[in-house]
This record gives sequence, structure tokens and C-alpha cells, in this order.
Amino acid sequence: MTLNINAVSKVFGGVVALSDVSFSVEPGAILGLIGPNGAGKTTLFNIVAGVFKPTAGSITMDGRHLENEPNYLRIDRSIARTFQNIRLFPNLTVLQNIVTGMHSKLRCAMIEAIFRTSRWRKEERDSRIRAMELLETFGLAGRKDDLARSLPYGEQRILEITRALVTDSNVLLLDEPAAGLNNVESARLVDFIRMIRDKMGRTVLLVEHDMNVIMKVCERLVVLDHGVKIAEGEPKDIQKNKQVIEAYLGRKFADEVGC
Amino acid sequence: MDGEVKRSVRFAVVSWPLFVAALVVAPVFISNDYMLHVLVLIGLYAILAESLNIVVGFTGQFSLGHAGFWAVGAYVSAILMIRLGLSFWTASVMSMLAGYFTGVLLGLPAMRLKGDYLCIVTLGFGEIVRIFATNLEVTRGPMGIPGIPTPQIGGFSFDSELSMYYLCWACAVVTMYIAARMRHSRFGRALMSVRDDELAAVSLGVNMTYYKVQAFGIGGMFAALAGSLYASWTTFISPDVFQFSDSANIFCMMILGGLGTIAGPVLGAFLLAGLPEVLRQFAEFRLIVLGLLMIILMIYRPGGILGSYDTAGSTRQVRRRKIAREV
Amino acid sequence: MFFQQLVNGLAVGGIYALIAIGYTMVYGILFFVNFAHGDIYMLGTYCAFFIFGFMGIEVTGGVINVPQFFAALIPSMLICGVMGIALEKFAYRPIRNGSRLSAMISALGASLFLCNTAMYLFGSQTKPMPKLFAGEYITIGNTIISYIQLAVLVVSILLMLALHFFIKHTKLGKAIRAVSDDQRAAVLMGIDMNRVISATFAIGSALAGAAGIMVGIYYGAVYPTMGAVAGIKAFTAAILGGIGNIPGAMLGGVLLGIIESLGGAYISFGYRDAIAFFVLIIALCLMPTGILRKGRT
Repeated sequence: MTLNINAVSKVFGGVVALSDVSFSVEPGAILGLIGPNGAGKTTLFNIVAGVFKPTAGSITMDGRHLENEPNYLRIDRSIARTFQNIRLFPNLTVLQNIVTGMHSKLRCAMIEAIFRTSRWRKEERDSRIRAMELLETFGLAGRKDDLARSLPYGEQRILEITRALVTDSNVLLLDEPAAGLNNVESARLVDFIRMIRDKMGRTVLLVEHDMNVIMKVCERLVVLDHGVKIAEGEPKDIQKNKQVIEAYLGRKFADEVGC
Repeated sequence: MDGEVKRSVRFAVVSWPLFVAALVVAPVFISNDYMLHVLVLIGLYAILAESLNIVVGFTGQFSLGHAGFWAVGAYVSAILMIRLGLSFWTASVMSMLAGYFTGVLLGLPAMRLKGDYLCIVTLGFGEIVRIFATNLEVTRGPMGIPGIPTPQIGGFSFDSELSMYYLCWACAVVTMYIAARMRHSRFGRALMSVRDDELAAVSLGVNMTYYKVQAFGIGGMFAALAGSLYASWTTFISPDVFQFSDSANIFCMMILGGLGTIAGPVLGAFLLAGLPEVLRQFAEFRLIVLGLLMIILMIYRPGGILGSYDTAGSTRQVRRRKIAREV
Repeated sequence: MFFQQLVNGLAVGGIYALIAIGYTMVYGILFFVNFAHGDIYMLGTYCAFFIFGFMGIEVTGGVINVPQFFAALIPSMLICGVMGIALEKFAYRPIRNGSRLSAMISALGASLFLCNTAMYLFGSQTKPMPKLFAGEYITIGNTIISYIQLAVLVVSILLMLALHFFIKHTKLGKAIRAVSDDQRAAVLMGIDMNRVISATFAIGSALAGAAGIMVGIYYGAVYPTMGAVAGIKAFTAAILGGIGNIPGAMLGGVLLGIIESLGGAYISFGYRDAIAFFVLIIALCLMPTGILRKGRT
């Protein structure tokens, strides 16, 4: 399941947000997408997630073109996402949030729920068991009947990731998962992201500002600046890359560091 | 099974039979036809408010044109019975189909719109239906359609208030039950996810367009059922019956009782359709008092009597209101 | 006939515009639809009705002159303005921190209250209103323009110009604009929200009152439920123009009046109102935020 971003460009009414960006996300990778403010990270993320269509270029999953598909079909292509400013279903319980995440996998029509057919009962039971397993894993089982809006911020973040996981998508897109978290919570987040890859075998693509998290969790980084890919490689190489330091801190600083 | 569901099941096991039993025995204690008449009216409004709840409470789409579906149901049923001589049962099924398709038709332009824009489009829809009923030949314009047959089954005719009471409330209970079951289905969860956060719902594979349109369709279908019952109950319909004020009234019932709950809209129907009738001796004051009550209730219990639902969703306007709240 | 319908549409459109301004101004600041606005407009007509009675003018078939018209217009606008402030204070201020839905229900409740109070106090029958100028008119080509149409147009335009001046050049007007642009910043700059909101309701309601009098004289009738239909139309006009936008409300009102008038003449008179709504639905689907959107998105 390789996700390919091929020569993607995006123009917003004359402003070039992305220009000719290509890279690929190998199965089982934890790939970080970084760059200074306005570099086009979020735009690219949204194109991969299906919110925007690219002006040029393509997104492929195992050779299948995704760029013109409607947004809601991304799940069927095994791509799930989270949002920068957490988007849960605030009036549903934690458990309902997770079960809603299984939408694309459940099969029973409403008529079966009305007549409580055995197929419906089994499906509801199975989905609940599956949801509880995941909630146990992420330490939210005790919160299952609380309304999502009543959770503290850190737990909301975890719940949102859990909801994306329950879709069984191979590729997980995380949009600034550490935003708004304190140090303890981000450390927990790093562990969770590792676990998602190591134990569950998912591929993770994340956009992040928190360099601490990035350096701890990512094995590969793609750096954007002004809509152009300026570097790609392992975190330790990226840390020394002159172009990257220039993009973040300016040319003068890069010269002083002596790269 | 987990606690929440267990609790709700335990509640349902007790409350549903109690509610139904109360409805069944109520006529024993109510001998006068006028009170039965009021109860039938409440039953019809209960169906209307509950069906609107599917559109607004479950799916989060404001609709101020629900009386339009009511009118569609009443007219389709009346015309089919009088012109084609169909039985009430066939005609009401056809009118529900008509209500469903009208809902889908309204849902199509509505799916692009939100909040107040959706309000005005649905409001316009209600008015358009009334204007067509006033001008078309088949609906006999402002004169209305008299002599609509009552439902018959075997040799039994539903021509008494008592029989209509049972028929209407049976339909109301079925509507409530379906709405209640819907919340525990994939379909219902999809509706609620669209209400709570459209973008998140779509990211989980919910086809938002489909569900928004379906919500209107199903809401329209049950409202049409209420219309069909209404036509056969009063035996006369005219465009004046289905005004904007009725749409607003149905909307208020749903909110006052508790948006998104199952019992709320029915309670609202009892309050807003029942109270004015009970207070008939104060005829001139009753609607004045009702208006005041609505304002007072919103000040002290903004979520409705039974509601806990947080209406602050994630629309832009709501966020701006939140800012206003902070400062 | 085209120009005749255009003139008729302009006159009605000017009135819609005056009512629509109230919807749009309140929406621009509080983000909810004041459904009781149409009833304020109805009260405006009744105010004039009683003032004419007080002045001893025969309401049935009576004729008033221009000074008498203004003698009724100004107090009615003042009374409606005060009613608007009271409405906000009792029905909306206590729930200002609540959701939009509760505001909407409260507004529907207030509308029910006002309409039925009027019915109780004044009776539910339609009452006649006196005429301004005894049906005199001028003709340009084949087009007949009655004096009353001219008067409605002139008064509407004057009021809108006055509003424009007020919003652009007075301190309070600037405060209103500031609040509708960015509430947080406006409050941080020391603007008194309560005062701005009261002023908004006062202005909107006074304009609705003015519209009420002109409609009363134009059609020669006043009745307690007249607010409902006019309210719906004006709300439509406000949405058509882009709600929250004052010039948009004016444009929307005039457009709606013309569309109705032309649609009624060329397509079908019975379906006149339906045509207006169809146009609205199509326009909203093509331009989901109205014709003139609010400055910031």
C-alpha cells in the first residue's frame, strides 16, 4: 500500500500554494511533513485527505488515482485522518464516536435496526466489542459513556486518533497531533504513534510544528518551503541541511551555524 | 452490553409499555368527544414534530417548512381517495411516497445551504406548496376539498373520534419507535455525525449529501402520513390549514420539548397543541400567554424541557456567537 | 406594461427594503433572525391608524395631506423604535449568551405575543386606512405613476439615505459597524455592546414602522396578521441581498419587489409569491451567501 504524491501543484486564485511536490509514503513508514508557516503543508495534507483537488499532478494509492474522487471515498481507499483543531462528534458519547468511525464497515440497513434482526444485533455487538478493545488499548475505556465534548483536550486528541484507527485504514493522516498538548501529553502521543505503527502495522503521515515530537517519532521527513519541496531524508540529516535551516531561521543564521 | 445502553434499554423497557398503556386506557377516563378531538390533534402534531426532529434534531438541518410536507400528504391522499376512489390505506401509502420524494427534492438544493439560508429555503418551500394548493385546479384552490372519506377496514369505519384517536396515536407511536431505533443504527449515527461535524463525518466515509437528502425524505414521509390522517379525520382541507405559522409551531414543539430526544417533540406537541385547547375559556389570552411562555422557557431552559443537547455546533456563526459570549 | 410593473415593483420593493434593513442589522450583530420584526411593522401601521383617528381624519375614504402624513410618520417611528428596544431587552437580552436556536424560539414567541396582543386590543378585523392624495397620478408614456407610489419611493429613499449617513458618519453608527465587523475587537476598544444593540433594534424597528405606515396607506388596510407575510418577504429580501449587509438588504428588497411584480404580470398573478421564492432558492443555490456578501468571510 504505497501512497504516492506525484508532481502535485495547487493554485488558489493566482497564489501558488504548492508547486510540483512529489514524494511517496512507503508502507509502515512514519513520515513527517514539516516546514515554516505558510509552506503549504496543510494544503498538501488536505489534498491527500481529499478536501481539495490538486490543480495539477496526482495522488495514487497502489497506482489507483485518488485526486478526483469525492472526499468521503478516502476511507474506502484505506486513508483516514485527524484534524488540527480536533473534530469529534461532541454530542455523541465516546463509544458512539468510535462506532461511528466504523460507518464504512457496517452493513445493516435501518430497517434491520427497526426490526432488531439477528444480523443487526450481531453487528452492533461485534462493533461494540471492537470499539471497547481499542478504547482499552488507549486508556479511554472508563470514559466510554461520557459525551465527547466533556473530555479534557488531551483525551479528545487520543479519541480522535482512535476513531481514525477503528476505520482499519492502512494510512493514517495526522494533522498537527501535538498542537495544544502539554509535555506529558505529547510524550504519550509519541508512544501512541509508535504503537500504531509497530503493533498495528499502520502507515503514518503527519504534519507537525513541534520539533521535539517530529524528531522523536518520524523516521523520514519531507520539508516544504513556499510550496516547494526543499529536502527529504532522515531527521538527523534534515537537522544539518543548510536549505532547511535557511528556510526556518534565515540565511544569516544558516551561515553562522556554518553549514 | 455497556452501561449506557443497559440504562437506556432498562428505561425503554419500562417507559414504552407505560406510555402505550396510558394511551390505550386514556379514553376510558375521557368521555367527552371534545377532549378526544384535542388528543387526536396532539397525536398528529406529535407525528409532525417527531418527523421534523429527524431533520433538525438528528441531522442538524433547520427546516421551517414542515407544514409543506403535511399539506402534500393531505392533498395527495385526499385527491387519490376522491378522484381515483382509492382506499385510505393505499392513498396514505402513496402520500407517504409523495412526501418522501418531495423531501428528497427539497433536500437537493438544501444540502448546499446551512443555518439561516436553509431556514429561508425551507420556509419558501412551505409557502410554495401553499401557493400551489391555492392556485391549482386539482386542489380546488382556496375553496379546499370537502367530503374526504374516512378510513375503512372490513366493515368498520373510523368515523368516531375514538377510532381516529387510536389510529392516529398508533401511527404516532410507530413514528416515535422508528425514530428511537434509528438512533441505534448505522444510518442514525451517520445522521448525527453529520449534525455534529460534517467534515469529520465525511472523513469517516459518511456520504453527507446522501444522508442530508435522506433525512429530508424520511421527515417528509412521516409528515405526509400525518397529513393523510388529518385529511381523513377532518374530511375537509384547504390551503389555509397549512400556514407558515404551523411550520413555526411544529418547530417550537420540537425545541420546547427537547431537540434530538424522542419524547421531547411529543411533550412539545402536548404543550403547544394541547394547552391552547385546554385554555380555550381564556380564548383571547391563550396565544399571548403561550408566546410569553416560549420566551420564559428559553430564558430558563434553553435546551428544551427534556433536552441536554448542545446546540452550539461548529458552524461559523456559532463560533462568532461564542466570541460574543466571551467578551 | 413592463415599465408599469417596474414602477409598481419599485414601490413595493422600497417597502420590503425598509423592513429587510431591520432583519439584516440585527443579524449582523447578534446572528439570529428576529422573527418578531414583522409584528413591529404591523404595530407601526396601527400607530398611524390611531394617530389619524386622533387627528380627526376619517379613516374610511379619508384623505390626508403631506404634513399630516409626516405628523403620523415621525411619532410612529419613535414608538416602534422604543418597542424594538423593549423587545430586545425583555425577549433577547436574557438569552444573549444562549444558542441561536433559543433566540429563534424566543423570537417566534415574541411574534406570537405581539400579534395576539394586537388582535386582543384592536380586534382581528381588517380596518381601513385613509389615503394620501386622493388617487392622483402622473403619466409618462403609458406608465401611470400614482402620487402615493412616488411618495413611498421618495420616503424610502430619504430614510435609506439618512440611515446611510448615520451609519457612515456618526459615532454610534461607526460603533454599530465596528461591532458587526469584529465584535471582540470592538468591545476591546471600549464600545458599549448593550448600547449598540439597543440602537440597532431602535433603528431597525423605526424603519419597519415607517414601512408599516406606508403599506397601510398604499393598500388602505391594517390588520393584526399583516406582519407575517411582509416579514417573510423582507426576510427573503435580506437573505437575497446577503444577510448582515445593509446595502444588500436594500438591493434585495427592491429586486424582490420587481421580480414579484414582473412575475405576477408576465407569468401568473396567482403564482406571484411562489415565483419570488423560486427565484430566491435558485439564487441561493448559485450564490450561497447572497448577492452582496458581508465584507469579511
